[in-house]
Amino acid sequence: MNGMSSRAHKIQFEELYQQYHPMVLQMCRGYMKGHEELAKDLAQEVFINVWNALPGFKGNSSHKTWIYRITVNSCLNYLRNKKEQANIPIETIEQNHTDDSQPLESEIAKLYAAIGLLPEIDRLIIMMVLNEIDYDEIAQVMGVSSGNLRVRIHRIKKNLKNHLNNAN
Amino acid sequence: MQNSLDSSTIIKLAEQKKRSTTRTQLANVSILVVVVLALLAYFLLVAKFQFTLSHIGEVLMCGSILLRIAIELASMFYAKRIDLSEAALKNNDSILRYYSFRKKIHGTVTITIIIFYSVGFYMLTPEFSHWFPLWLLILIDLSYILAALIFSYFIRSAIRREMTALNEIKRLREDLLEQ
Repeated sequence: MNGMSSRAHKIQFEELYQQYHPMVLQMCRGYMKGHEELAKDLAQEVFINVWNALPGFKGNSSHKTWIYRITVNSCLNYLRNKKEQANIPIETIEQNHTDDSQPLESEIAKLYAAIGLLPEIDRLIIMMVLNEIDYDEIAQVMGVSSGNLRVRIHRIKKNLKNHLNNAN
Repeated sequence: MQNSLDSSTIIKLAEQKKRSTTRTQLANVSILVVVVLALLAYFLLVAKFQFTLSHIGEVLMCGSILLRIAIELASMFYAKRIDLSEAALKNNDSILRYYSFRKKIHGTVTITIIIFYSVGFYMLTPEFSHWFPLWLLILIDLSYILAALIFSYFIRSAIRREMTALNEIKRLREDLLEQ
Protein backbone atom coordinates (compact mmCIF):
# COMPACT_ATOMS: atom_id res chain seq x y z
CA MET A 1 0.00 0.00 0.00
CA ASN A 2 2.89 2.38 -0.84
CA GLY A 3 4.07 2.66 2.76
CA MET A 4 0.70 3.76 4.11
CA SER A 5 -0.58 1.52 6.88
CA SER A 6 -4.16 0.37 6.77
CA ARG A 7 -4.98 2.47 9.86
CA ALA A 8 -3.32 5.60 8.46
CA HIS A 9 -5.18 5.03 5.17
CA LYS A 10 -8.48 4.87 7.02
CA ILE A 11 -7.80 7.90 9.23
CA GLN A 12 -6.69 10.03 6.31
CA PHE A 13 -9.69 8.97 4.25
CA GLU A 14 -12.08 9.86 7.08
CA GLU A 15 -10.52 13.32 7.39
CA LEU A 16 -10.76 13.89 3.65
CA TYR A 17 -14.34 12.64 3.59
CA GLN A 18 -15.40 14.97 6.40
CA GLN A 19 -13.61 17.93 4.89
CA TYR A 20 -14.42 17.55 1.21
CA HIS A 21 -17.71 15.66 0.99
CA PRO A 22 -19.82 18.88 0.81
CA MET A 23 -17.52 20.26 -1.94
CA VAL A 24 -17.73 17.03 -3.97
CA LEU A 25 -21.50 16.79 -3.53
CA GLN A 26 -21.88 20.37 -4.75
CA MET A 27 -19.86 19.56 -7.90
CA CYS A 28 -21.92 16.42 -8.47
CA ARG A 29 -25.18 18.38 -8.08
CA GLY A 30 -24.13 20.76 -10.83
CA TYR A 31 -22.98 17.92 -13.04
CA MET A 32 -26.19 15.96 -12.47
CA LYS A 33 -28.31 19.05 -13.24
CA GLY A 34 -29.46 19.43 -9.63
CA HIS A 35 -30.71 15.85 -9.38
CA GLU A 36 -30.08 15.14 -5.69
CA GLU A 37 -30.24 11.33 -5.67
CA LEU A 38 -27.96 10.97 -8.70
CA ALA A 39 -25.59 13.57 -7.23
CA LYS A 40 -25.31 11.60 -3.96
CA ASP A 41 -24.79 8.39 -5.91
CA LEU A 42 -22.02 10.02 -7.92
CA ALA A 43 -20.41 11.59 -4.81
CA GLN A 44 -20.30 8.10 -3.32
CA GLU A 45 -18.56 6.84 -6.48
CA VAL A 46 -16.06 9.71 -6.20
CA PHE A 47 -15.14 8.75 -2.63
CA ILE A 48 -14.83 5.08 -3.55
CA ASN A 49 -12.27 6.25 -6.12
CA VAL A 50 -10.61 8.52 -3.53
CA TRP A 51 -10.22 5.54 -1.18
CA ASN A 52 -8.64 3.45 -3.94
CA ALA A 53 -6.31 6.25 -5.11
CA LEU A 54 -5.25 7.47 -1.64
CA PRO A 55 -2.24 5.14 -1.16
CA GLY A 56 -0.84 6.57 -4.41
CA PHE A 57 -1.20 10.22 -3.32
CA LYS A 58 2.25 11.75 -3.79
CA GLY A 59 1.60 15.20 -2.36
CA ASN A 60 2.48 16.97 -5.63
CA SER A 61 -0.69 19.00 -5.28
CA SER A 62 -3.01 19.93 -2.42
CA HIS A 63 -5.59 17.37 -1.29
CA LYS A 64 -8.24 19.74 -2.58
CA THR A 65 -6.87 19.84 -6.16
CA TRP A 66 -6.29 16.09 -6.03
CA ILE A 67 -9.89 15.44 -4.98
CA TYR A 68 -11.16 17.84 -7.64
CA ARG A 69 -9.26 15.86 -10.26
CA ILE A 70 -10.76 12.59 -9.05
CA THR A 71 -14.21 14.22 -8.97
CA VAL A 72 -13.95 15.53 -12.54
CA ASN A 73 -12.65 12.18 -13.86
CA SER A 74 -15.26 10.22 -11.92
CA CYS A 75 -18.02 12.46 -13.28
CA LEU A 76 -16.87 11.97 -16.88
CA ASN A 77 -16.51 8.20 -16.36
CA TYR A 78 -19.87 7.93 -14.62
CA LEU A 79 -21.87 9.14 -17.58
CA ARG A 80 -19.77 7.15 -20.02
CA ASN A 81 -20.36 3.97 -18.02
CA LYS A 82 -24.04 4.71 -17.45
CA LYS A 83 -24.88 6.01 -20.88
CA GLU A 84 -28.54 5.25 -20.32
CA GLN A 85 -28.59 8.02 -17.71
CA ALA A 86 -26.98 10.53 -20.04
CA ASN A 87 -30.26 12.33 -20.56
CA ILE A 88 -30.79 13.25 -16.95
CA PRO A 89 -33.91 15.33 -16.56
CA ILE A 90 -33.29 18.78 -15.15
CA GLU A 91 -34.50 18.65 -11.58
CA THR A 92 -38.05 19.97 -11.12
CA ILE A 93 -37.37 23.52 -12.13
CA GLU A 94 -40.99 24.26 -12.94
CA GLN A 95 -42.23 23.23 -9.50
CA ASN A 96 -39.65 25.23 -7.62
CA HIS A 97 -39.88 28.22 -9.90
CA THR A 98 -43.50 28.96 -9.02
CA ASP A 99 -43.05 28.42 -5.30
CA ASP A 100 -42.94 31.98 -3.88
CA SER A 101 -42.46 30.78 -0.29
CA GLN A 102 -38.97 29.56 -1.15
CA PRO A 103 -37.39 32.19 -3.37
CA LEU A 104 -33.82 31.10 -2.62
CA GLU A 105 -34.53 27.47 -3.53
CA SER A 106 -36.24 28.71 -6.66
CA GLU A 107 -33.17 30.74 -7.64
CA ILE A 108 -30.86 27.80 -6.93
CA ALA A 109 -33.10 25.49 -8.96
CA LYS A 110 -33.03 28.01 -11.81
CA LEU A 111 -29.24 28.14 -11.64
CA TYR A 112 -28.94 24.33 -11.72
CA ALA A 113 -31.39 24.20 -14.61
CA ALA A 114 -29.30 26.73 -16.54
CA ILE A 115 -26.08 24.84 -15.69
CA GLY A 116 -27.83 21.65 -16.81
CA LEU A 117 -28.20 23.10 -20.29
CA LEU A 118 -24.42 23.42 -20.65
CA PRO A 119 -22.29 20.59 -22.12
CA GLU A 120 -20.86 18.21 -19.49
CA ILE A 121 -17.29 19.60 -19.37
CA ASP A 122 -18.61 23.17 -19.18
CA ARG A 123 -20.82 22.11 -16.26
CA LEU A 124 -17.77 20.83 -14.37
CA ILE A 125 -15.76 23.98 -15.10
CA ILE A 126 -18.54 26.36 -14.08
CA MET A 127 -19.13 24.44 -10.84
CA MET A 128 -15.47 24.97 -9.94
CA VAL A 129 -15.77 28.65 -10.85
CA LEU A 130 -18.87 28.93 -8.63
CA ASN A 131 -16.93 27.20 -5.84
CA GLU A 132 -14.38 30.05 -6.23
CA ILE A 133 -11.53 27.83 -7.34
CA ASP A 134 -8.60 29.71 -8.76
CA TYR A 135 -8.50 29.64 -12.58
CA ASP A 136 -4.95 28.26 -12.62
CA GLU A 137 -6.05 25.46 -10.30
CA ILE A 138 -9.02 24.66 -12.57
CA ALA A 139 -6.61 24.57 -15.53
CA GLN A 140 -4.47 22.07 -13.58
CA VAL A 141 -7.50 19.92 -12.77
CA MET A 142 -8.66 19.89 -16.38
CA GLY A 143 -5.14 19.55 -17.82
CA VAL A 144 -5.48 22.48 -20.21
CA SER A 145 -3.57 25.74 -20.47
CA SER A 146 -4.66 28.74 -18.35
CA GLY A 147 -5.15 30.84 -21.48
CA ASN A 148 -7.38 28.24 -23.06
CA LEU A 149 -9.37 27.92 -19.84
CA ARG A 150 -9.91 31.68 -19.43
CA VAL A 151 -11.33 31.97 -22.95
CA ARG A 152 -13.55 29.01 -22.26
CA ILE A 153 -14.81 30.33 -18.92
CA HIS A 154 -15.70 33.61 -20.60
CA ARG A 155 -17.77 31.71 -23.15
CA ILE A 156 -19.39 29.47 -20.50
CA LYS A 157 -20.41 32.48 -18.41
CA LYS A 158 -21.93 34.10 -21.47
CA ASN A 159 -23.91 30.94 -22.29
CA LEU A 160 -24.99 30.54 -18.68
CA LYS A 161 -26.21 34.13 -18.59
CA ASN A 162 -28.21 33.55 -21.78
CA HIS A 163 -29.80 30.42 -20.33
CA LEU A 164 -30.68 32.26 -17.12
CA ASN A 165 -32.19 35.17 -19.06
CA ASN A 166 -34.23 32.77 -21.17
CA ALA A 167 -35.51 31.10 -17.99
CA ASN A 168 -36.78 34.43 -16.56
CA MET B 1 -27.45 2.58 -4.46
CA GLN B 2 -27.58 4.04 -1.00
CA ASN B 3 -26.98 7.72 -0.41
CA SER B 4 -25.44 9.94 2.30
CA LEU B 5 -23.26 7.18 3.67
CA ASP B 6 -20.62 7.55 6.34
CA SER B 7 -16.95 7.07 5.54
CA SER B 8 -16.72 3.53 6.96
CA THR B 9 -19.57 2.37 4.71
CA ILE B 10 -17.85 3.95 1.70
CA ILE B 11 -14.66 2.06 2.64
CA LYS B 12 -16.61 -1.20 2.81
CA LEU B 13 -18.22 -0.50 -0.57
CA ALA B 14 -14.83 0.40 -2.08
CA GLU B 15 -13.28 -2.83 -0.83
CA GLN B 16 -16.25 -4.87 -2.10
CA LYS B 17 -15.99 -3.19 -5.51
CA LYS B 18 -12.23 -3.80 -5.68
CA ARG B 19 -12.68 -7.48 -4.79
CA SER B 20 -15.48 -7.88 -7.31
CA THR B 21 -13.44 -6.23 -10.12
CA THR B 22 -10.41 -8.41 -9.37
CA ARG B 23 -12.63 -11.53 -9.24
CA THR B 24 -14.20 -10.72 -12.63
CA GLN B 25 -10.81 -10.10 -14.27
CA LEU B 26 -9.30 -13.25 -12.78
CA ALA B 27 -12.40 -15.28 -13.67
CA ASN B 28 -11.94 -14.48 -17.39
CA VAL B 29 -8.27 -15.52 -17.29
CA SER B 30 -9.04 -18.58 -15.12
CA ILE B 31 -11.67 -19.85 -17.58
CA LEU B 32 -9.16 -19.57 -20.43
CA VAL B 33 -6.45 -21.29 -18.35
CA VAL B 34 -8.87 -24.14 -17.52
CA VAL B 35 -9.76 -24.49 -21.23
CA VAL B 36 -6.10 -24.68 -22.29
CA LEU B 37 -5.31 -27.17 -19.51
CA ALA B 38 -8.31 -29.30 -20.48
CA LEU B 39 -7.16 -29.26 -24.12
CA LEU B 40 -3.61 -30.19 -23.14
CA ALA B 41 -4.88 -32.99 -20.91
CA TYR B 42 -7.07 -34.27 -23.74
CA PHE B 43 -4.27 -34.07 -26.33
CA LEU B 44 -1.57 -35.58 -24.11
CA LEU B 45 -3.50 -38.12 -22.07
CA VAL B 46 -6.59 -39.10 -24.04
CA ALA B 47 -6.31 -38.43 -27.78
CA LYS B 48 -2.55 -38.86 -28.28
CA PHE B 49 -2.72 -37.75 -31.93
CA GLN B 50 -0.20 -39.25 -34.36
CA PHE B 51 -0.58 -37.18 -37.56
CA THR B 52 1.68 -34.18 -38.07
CA LEU B 53 -1.38 -32.25 -39.25
CA SER B 54 -3.05 -33.00 -35.90
CA HIS B 55 0.03 -31.81 -33.99
CA ILE B 56 -0.07 -28.51 -35.89
CA GLY B 57 -3.78 -28.31 -35.04
CA GLU B 58 -3.02 -28.85 -31.34
CA VAL B 59 -0.41 -26.09 -31.37
CA LEU B 60 -2.76 -23.69 -33.17
CA MET B 61 -5.63 -24.35 -30.75
CA CYS B 62 -3.56 -24.09 -27.56
CA GLY B 63 -1.44 -21.24 -28.94
CA SER B 64 -4.45 -19.12 -29.83
CA ILE B 65 -5.89 -19.51 -26.32
CA LEU B 66 -2.51 -18.72 -24.75
CA LEU B 67 -2.36 -15.58 -26.93
CA ARG B 68 -5.83 -14.61 -25.68
CA ILE B 69 -4.65 -15.10 -22.05
CA ALA B 70 -1.65 -12.85 -22.72
CA ILE B 71 -3.98 -10.20 -24.17
CA GLU B 72 -6.32 -10.40 -21.16
CA LEU B 73 -3.34 -9.92 -18.83
CA ALA B 74 -2.07 -6.98 -20.92
CA SER B 75 -5.56 -5.50 -20.83
CA MET B 76 -5.62 -5.77 -17.02
CA PHE B 77 -2.20 -4.08 -16.90
CA TYR B 78 -3.42 -1.18 -19.08
CA ALA B 79 -6.58 -0.82 -17.00
CA LYS B 80 -4.55 -0.66 -13.78
CA ARG B 81 -2.47 2.18 -15.23
CA ILE B 82 -5.51 4.44 -15.52
CA ASP B 83 -5.05 6.96 -12.73
CA LEU B 84 -8.16 8.90 -11.77
CA SER B 85 -6.11 11.46 -9.88
CA GLU B 86 -4.47 12.71 -13.08
CA ALA B 87 -5.66 15.86 -14.83
CA ALA B 88 -8.85 15.28 -16.83
CA LEU B 89 -7.17 15.49 -20.25
CA LYS B 90 -4.35 13.12 -19.23
CA ASN B 91 -6.81 10.70 -17.66
CA ASN B 92 -8.96 10.81 -20.78
CA ASP B 93 -5.85 10.06 -22.87
CA SER B 94 -5.01 7.05 -20.66
CA ILE B 95 -8.54 5.72 -21.12
CA LEU B 96 -8.28 6.45 -24.84
CA ARG B 97 -5.07 4.37 -25.03
CA TYR B 98 -6.81 1.54 -23.15
CA TYR B 99 -9.81 1.50 -25.48
CA SER B 100 -7.61 1.88 -28.58
CA PHE B 101 -5.73 -1.19 -27.38
CA ARG B 102 -9.07 -2.97 -26.92
CA LYS B 103 -10.10 -1.88 -30.42
CA LYS B 104 -6.94 -3.47 -31.86
CA ILE B 105 -7.64 -6.66 -29.89
CA HIS B 106 -11.22 -6.83 -31.08
CA GLY B 107 -10.21 -6.24 -34.65
CA THR B 108 -7.42 -8.18 -36.32
CA VAL B 109 -6.14 -9.95 -33.21
CA THR B 110 -9.46 -11.55 -32.20
CA ILE B 111 -10.26 -12.51 -35.79
CA THR B 112 -6.78 -14.05 -36.13
CA ILE B 113 -7.24 -15.96 -32.85
CA ILE B 114 -10.63 -17.31 -33.97
CA ILE B 115 -9.23 -18.30 -37.39
CA PHE B 116 -6.17 -20.02 -35.84
CA TYR B 117 -8.33 -21.89 -33.33
CA SER B 118 -10.85 -22.94 -35.98
CA VAL B 119 -8.20 -24.02 -38.49
CA GLY B 120 -6.48 -25.95 -35.67
CA PHE B 121 -9.76 -27.62 -34.76
CA TYR B 122 -10.49 -28.70 -38.33
CA MET B 123 -6.91 -29.98 -38.70
CA LEU B 124 -7.85 -32.65 -36.15
CA THR B 125 -10.71 -33.87 -38.34
CA PRO B 126 -8.66 -36.22 -40.62
CA GLU B 127 -7.34 -38.13 -37.60
CA PHE B 128 -10.74 -38.02 -35.87
CA SER B 129 -12.16 -39.74 -38.98
CA HIS B 130 -10.17 -42.85 -38.02
CA TRP B 131 -11.92 -43.03 -34.66
CA PHE B 132 -15.45 -41.72 -35.18
CA PRO B 133 -18.18 -42.65 -37.65
CA LEU B 134 -18.89 -40.09 -40.37
CA TRP B 135 -22.22 -38.93 -38.88
CA LEU B 136 -20.54 -38.13 -35.56
CA LEU B 137 -17.73 -36.31 -37.30
CA ILE B 138 -20.24 -34.17 -39.22
CA LEU B 139 -22.11 -33.52 -35.97
CA ILE B 140 -18.89 -32.41 -34.22
CA ASP B 141 -17.90 -30.11 -37.10
CA LEU B 142 -21.37 -28.60 -37.41
CA SER B 143 -21.72 -28.04 -33.67
CA TYR B 144 -18.38 -26.25 -33.76
CA ILE B 145 -19.81 -23.84 -36.36
CA LEU B 146 -22.84 -23.22 -34.12
CA ALA B 147 -20.63 -22.60 -31.07
CA ALA B 148 -18.43 -20.25 -33.13
CA LEU B 149 -21.50 -18.29 -34.28
CA ILE B 150 -22.79 -17.88 -30.69
CA PHE B 151 -19.32 -16.87 -29.53
CA SER B 152 -19.02 -14.35 -32.39
CA TYR B 153 -22.40 -12.82 -31.44
CA PHE B 154 -21.19 -12.15 -27.88
CA ILE B 155 -17.89 -10.77 -29.14
CA ARG B 156 -19.75 -8.45 -31.53
CA SER B 157 -21.93 -7.11 -28.69
CA ALA B 158 -18.83 -6.47 -26.57
CA ILE B 159 -17.11 -4.73 -29.50
CA ARG B 160 -20.13 -2.47 -30.06
CA ARG B 161 -20.20 -1.50 -26.37
CA GLU B 162 -16.51 -0.70 -26.31
CA MET B 163 -16.57 1.17 -29.61
CA THR B 164 -19.39 3.38 -28.27
CA ALA B 165 -17.21 4.09 -25.23
CA LEU B 166 -14.23 4.82 -27.48
CA ASN B 167 -16.21 7.34 -29.55
CA GLU B 168 -17.42 9.00 -26.35
CA ILE B 169 -13.82 9.30 -25.07
CA LYS B 170 -12.73 10.85 -28.37
CA ARG B 171 -15.62 13.30 -28.20
CA LEU B 172 -14.66 14.24 -24.62
CA ARG B 173 -11.06 14.78 -25.71
CA GLU B 174 -12.13 17.19 -28.45
CA ASP B 175 -14.43 18.91 -25.99
CA LEU B 176 -11.63 19.24 -23.42
CA LEU B 177 -9.31 20.83 -25.97
CA GLU B 178 -11.96 23.18 -27.31
CA GLN B 179 -11.73 26.82 -26.28
